[in-house]
Formats: sequence, structure tokens, C-alpha cells
Amino acid sequence: MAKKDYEAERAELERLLAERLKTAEDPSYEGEILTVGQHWILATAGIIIPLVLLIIGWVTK
Amino acid sequence: MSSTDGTIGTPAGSPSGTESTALKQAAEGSWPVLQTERNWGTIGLFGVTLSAGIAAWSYAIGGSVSWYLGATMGTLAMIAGSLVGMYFVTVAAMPISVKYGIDTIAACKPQYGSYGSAFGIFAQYTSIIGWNCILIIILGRTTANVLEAANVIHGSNTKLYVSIAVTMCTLALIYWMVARGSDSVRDNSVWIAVAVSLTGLMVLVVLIWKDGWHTIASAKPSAAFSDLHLNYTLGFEILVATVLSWWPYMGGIMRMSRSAKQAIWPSMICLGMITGIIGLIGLYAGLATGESDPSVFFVKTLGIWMGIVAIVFIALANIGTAIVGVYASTIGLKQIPALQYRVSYRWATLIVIAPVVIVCAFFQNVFMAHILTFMYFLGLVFAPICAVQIVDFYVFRKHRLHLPSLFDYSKNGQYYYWGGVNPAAFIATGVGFVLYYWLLNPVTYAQHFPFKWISASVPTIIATGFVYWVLTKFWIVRVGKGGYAKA
Repeated sequence: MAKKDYEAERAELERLLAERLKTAEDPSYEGEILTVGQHWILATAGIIIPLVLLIIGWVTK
Repeated sequence: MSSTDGTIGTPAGSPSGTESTALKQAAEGSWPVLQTERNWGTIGLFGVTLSAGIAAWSYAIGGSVSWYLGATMGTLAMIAGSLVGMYFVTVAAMPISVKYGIDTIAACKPQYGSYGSAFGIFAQYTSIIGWNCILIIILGRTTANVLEAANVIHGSNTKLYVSIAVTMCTLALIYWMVARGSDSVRDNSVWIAVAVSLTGLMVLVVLIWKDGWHTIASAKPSAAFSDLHLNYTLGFEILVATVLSWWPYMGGIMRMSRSAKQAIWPSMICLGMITGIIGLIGLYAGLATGESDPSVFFVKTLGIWMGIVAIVFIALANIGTAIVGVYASTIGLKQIPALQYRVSYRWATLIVIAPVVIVCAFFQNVFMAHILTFMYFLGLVFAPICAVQIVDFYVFRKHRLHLPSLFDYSKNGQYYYWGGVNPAAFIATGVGFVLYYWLLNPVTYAQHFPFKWISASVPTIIATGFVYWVLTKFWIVRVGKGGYAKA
């Protein structure tokens, strides 16, 4: 691709990226993050339950 | 950042070519995916993660655990390890990708710097290459072993050539599927997930039916230490370390989700726990046969006809996993400034697959002989990365990133730090490397005393996070770098 075409396309891509970023910065376009309650559920699944499993495994060895 | 400074995602350099329309770039490239474009839905997300999670590398992982632990303790250590590893990956990588629709590499720019994030790309690229090598080689070798057992082929050289031929054909198929884009990943993954789940269940049932649970449960591990506690921790650590390597995959998948709530269980169950559960097949087969290599124990356990079923299962599972991995890594490569606008999506896909082709063609046996070293290195690399990301996003940035700076490579970007690199992140990560290496040497497998009490990945995460917190709070924030003052 010629350098001239590349520069034109790059400029166009930058313009579209800037537009997209402006849109994405609007909080209504953001995905929902974890709530405190969901963090607790996650910690239960990822820390507490494994700990219990390890203890069961050690006790019943 | 402004749109006129010429630096938004396009550092200086001479152009040599470019590709797609901006819309394609947004959908398949590195730009944020907007809420309205996140079209995978709950079923699609479960399908993609399940397809990715059910992979033949789990057999290799389970086979490795069978060196150290019997069935009962091995089962519990594997499930526990998979959940712990996935917890840290989920907390570190998932909320950022879901909130901003960005992939894993863009998500690590605030910590490692606009140019320093290349470290994340390197980690992603090499780990996905490594896993894909394992997946594809296992498929090739299992096929060759079944054909040998059926007297179709004879001799080790012929077996190797057959294995190479199968791997090359598989890689060509994977390239064709990934090159079609994200919709292709989703559409193929859903049906693959269903087929893989049913076939995997069948293989497990046949395994227990043939050998009997009593035989498996009473089998002794093949290379256990005399210290049961140490064996228990080693089994646990293998799972934590390997599951941490989901980090590079997370962003590419989870950015298509509309909410973190929607993504929790696909992440924890379909990526994390399923690795442990499918790995149990490898553990039980390894205990029953004394062989940890899946390509051997499948044929040894199931015989020719069921071995053919196993090939179908492994093929479905591996192709499903590999297309997600290659897709995620391709998006990661598109984050490299030099490649972002100059290399097409299809060429980027080819760059991801090419090293796998080379390894599968020329270094199959050498690579497979060092599987456990590869697995431990995953923990060494990804545990510190997760720690840095968790502390940065939750403690310092309070869940908020400056989106334009993720694509701004100029000094004006908040994540430019010094020359585009955040030294605090690299120092903390380096401390994590050293600590892990000291606790559990990935090459020699030598451990130091605290390992059997605290494992390696978990203390590495805690120590790395602490070092990063200290450096950021008392150095980076005070000199006004990193955009923390504005967070």
C-alpha cells in the first residue's frame, strides 16, 4: 500500500478511535463491575471452599 | 490526549501496509468493545469458556499430579488449586475487561506502562504458544499411538511423521477458523463445548468401568516424595500455576460480556474448576497405568476402538481451546504499536500460529519432555502479574482507568511513566519471580522449606502485591506519574 494511502487510512482510524473512546468514556457504555457482595461470593468460591477442600483432604488422607 | 497529536495508538514509524476498516479493527482488534457490541450473551460466554476450559492440557496436568498424589488427595488438591488460581486471575483481569471492553494487554498498560505492556504481550504470546504446542502435540501423538496399536503404522520414525502430519493439518484448520473472526470463535465454540462435555463424560465412565474405582483409589503415585505434606502442596501448586495462565485468555473472552456478574461463573467454573475436573481423568488414568503422558495412557487404558473415541474427544477439545487462545493472542499482538496498523488480522493470526508449527514440526519430543517446567514457569510469570494488576486497579485506581491513555503512546498519556515503562511494576514483578524461583525452582523442581506450608504462587502474589503497593505509594504517586492523582 502506498504511503499516502496508509497515512489517509491511519488518520481515518485515529478519528474513529477518538470517537469510540469518547463514547466508551460515557459511564453508561461501561460494563458492570463486581459489587461487594459479588466479591464475597467470589472469595468464597476461590478461597474459602478450596481451603475447606484441602483440610478435608488432609484429615481423610 | 487529543485526536490531533498523531499519537493515539500510532507511535512514529514508517508504514508498510495496513488492513481493515475501522469497524473491523474495533470488532476484532484492540479497541474497546462497546456495550451494544457485546453480543456473546450468557450462553455464548458459557460455551466459549467451557470449550476453552475442556482441554487436553488438563490430562497432562492431572498426569503430572499422579506423580505425587493418590486419587483422593489428588482430587481435592486439584479442585482446590484450580479454584484458587482462577480466583486471582478473575479478580485481576476480568472486571477491567468487562468494564471497558478491552483485552488483557490493554488492561495491563496502567500498571506496566504504555510501552511496558509489551511484557504482558510477551507473557501472553509465549504461554499461549506453549499451551497450543501441548494441545496439538498430544493430539498428534495420540493419533500415532492408536494407529500403531492398530498395526496400521510401525516404527518410531513413522509414528513421529504421522504425529507431525496430524499437527500440521490441525494447525491449518485452527488458522482457518480463527481467521474468520470473533463470531467464528463464538459460533464454533458452542457446539464444540456440547460435544466435548458429552464425550469427556463418556471417557471418564469407561475409565472407571474398565479399571474399577478401587484400583484407581488404591493406586500409589509413581514419583512421590516421602513427605506427604510436600506432595500435597506440589499437587496443589501444579493446579494453581497452570490455572493462572488463563490470565492472557481472560480479556479476549470477557470483554464480550456485558457485566462482571455474568462473567463470574463462566470464569470460575468453566475456565478454572473445569481444568481441575477434566484433569482428574489424567490423574486417575495416570494412577491406573503409571503413565503420565496422555497420548500413552489413553491408548493403554482404552484400547484401539475407545482410543479412536479419545482422538475425537481430544481433537474437539483441543481445537476449541486453541482457537480461543490464538484469537486472544492475536488481539494481544494487535496491541504492539508496530503491528497495530501494519499487520492484518490474518497475518497476526499467522504470527501466533507459526511458532507452534515450528515446535510441532521439529521439537515435539523435547518440548513434551519439559512439560512440568513449562507449567511451573506459568506460575512464576503470571502470579506477579496478577498481583500487580489487583493492587493497582482496586487500591490505587479505585476501579477507574483513563481510557484514552490506554491508546496514547505519547508523553501526554497518563500511563507513559518514564519512557512508557513503569519501573515499580517491573521491580515488584521481578521480586515475585525471584521469590517463586526460590520457593520452587521450575527447572530442577527443588523447593525451600516454607514451600510445603505456603506453596509458591500464593505467597508470590502477596509479596509482589505488597512490594508494588510500597513502591507506588511512596514513589510513583509522590512524583506524580501514572495518573494516580487523577484517579
